[in-house]
Amino acid sequence: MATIRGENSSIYFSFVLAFALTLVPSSWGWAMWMPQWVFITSMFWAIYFPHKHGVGWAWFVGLWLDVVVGYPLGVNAFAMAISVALAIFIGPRFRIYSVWLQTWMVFVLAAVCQLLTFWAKNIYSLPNSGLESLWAALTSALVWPLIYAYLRVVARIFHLI
Amino acid sequence: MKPLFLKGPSLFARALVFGLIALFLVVADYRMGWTAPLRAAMSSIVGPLYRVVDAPAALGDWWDHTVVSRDELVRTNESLRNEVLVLRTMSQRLAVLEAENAQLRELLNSSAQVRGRLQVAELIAISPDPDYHTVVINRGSEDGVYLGQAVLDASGLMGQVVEVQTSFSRAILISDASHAIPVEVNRNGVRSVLRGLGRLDTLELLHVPATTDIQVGDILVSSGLGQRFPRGYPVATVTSVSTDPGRPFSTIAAAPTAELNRSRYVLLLFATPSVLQSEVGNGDD
Repeated sequence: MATIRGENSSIYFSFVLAFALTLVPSSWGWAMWMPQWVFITSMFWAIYFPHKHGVGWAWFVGLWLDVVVGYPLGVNAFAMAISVALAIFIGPRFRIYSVWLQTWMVFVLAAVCQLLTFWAKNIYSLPNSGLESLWAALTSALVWPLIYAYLRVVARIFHLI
Repeated sequence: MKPLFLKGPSLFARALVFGLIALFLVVADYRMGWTAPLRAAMSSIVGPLYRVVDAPAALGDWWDHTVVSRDELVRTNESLRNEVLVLRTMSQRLAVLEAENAQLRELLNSSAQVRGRLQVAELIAISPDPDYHTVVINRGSEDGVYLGQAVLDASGLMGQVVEVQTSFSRAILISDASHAIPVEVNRNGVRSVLRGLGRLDTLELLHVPATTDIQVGDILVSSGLGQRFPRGYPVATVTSVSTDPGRPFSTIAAAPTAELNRSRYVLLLFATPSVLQSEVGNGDD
């Protein structure tokens, strides 16, 4: 397979964009509805390219998310590592699902990620709004078809597929 | 070639190991504060990202400033000039009062209050987590920002600095659910603690006995106890007082006076520890 120099740069680029989207200013009323951009990006790469983006990378990306959001280091790393491991586990089946079934699965995975974050924050009694955080999982699922289409294009441009 | 099978330890063994490392990190960071150098190193890269994401808003600001009609400028100028005039007159009176206050304090053998220096800072990001009321401002340790520094806007106290990096710092707002600030009622000096609830428009006064004299409309100012915030800055206005005879404490809600989700420009208050100390020393007189 032809490899070009910027093979991994597509992954880096997509994450920078995901972090930027995470930081797009919104009022706190809307923040509840913000999709988990970083998680779905990580999930996409983990499901379609598990040899490029595994549990370790998800953990590392989660650590960056902690720095960006200002959490204690490790909260998101914990949630991302485990939920992305789950994503890799169901990956072979996920890849053959229809987009609608995928959307539903993304909701489940994003919810798992949110609940793990919730749990990690709860151990150290950080403020939490509980089940309201599931709205973000819902919007994450709703933007999945778009993310999927966009990342497929990115992957194709950089000859990953 | 893509490998057909993932090599190395099994998927969930790896997830477990990474998960445990992460949980250890949380303890190391949150309880021990061991990871400050790591966070500082990563933050130096994150800093520019905040600015890039903020660029459109900054550009919008610049556009608003640049493309203004002459009439509008004249009008604003005029109203600002009037405002300056009024404020100057008021501050003349303030100077006299301050001198008098210092004199009286001298008579009472207590040190004079010193006003801190203010620096304007710009908000460059807000926390994407609705449970976490923190904002990122564009001043860091290179501008002399320090941990625990009070952040204000034109109408009241906003919060305090909780993380300082080289080029930016993070401040927690008084509305955050993990934040509480010692306050007193401006009218009669009743002291209490004002706690955030994770909602931008409501704060709660803690442990106020049912018989305490607090009314709707009372202004709560920082009391300076706790030695974090300087004394006398407005924090919130009481919006509701409900007393249930069956409960030992009344439920008192207050609305922050600062515009927590509107202010783009905030003020950093530089108060030396000695200033805070002296104010606290006189807090209960």
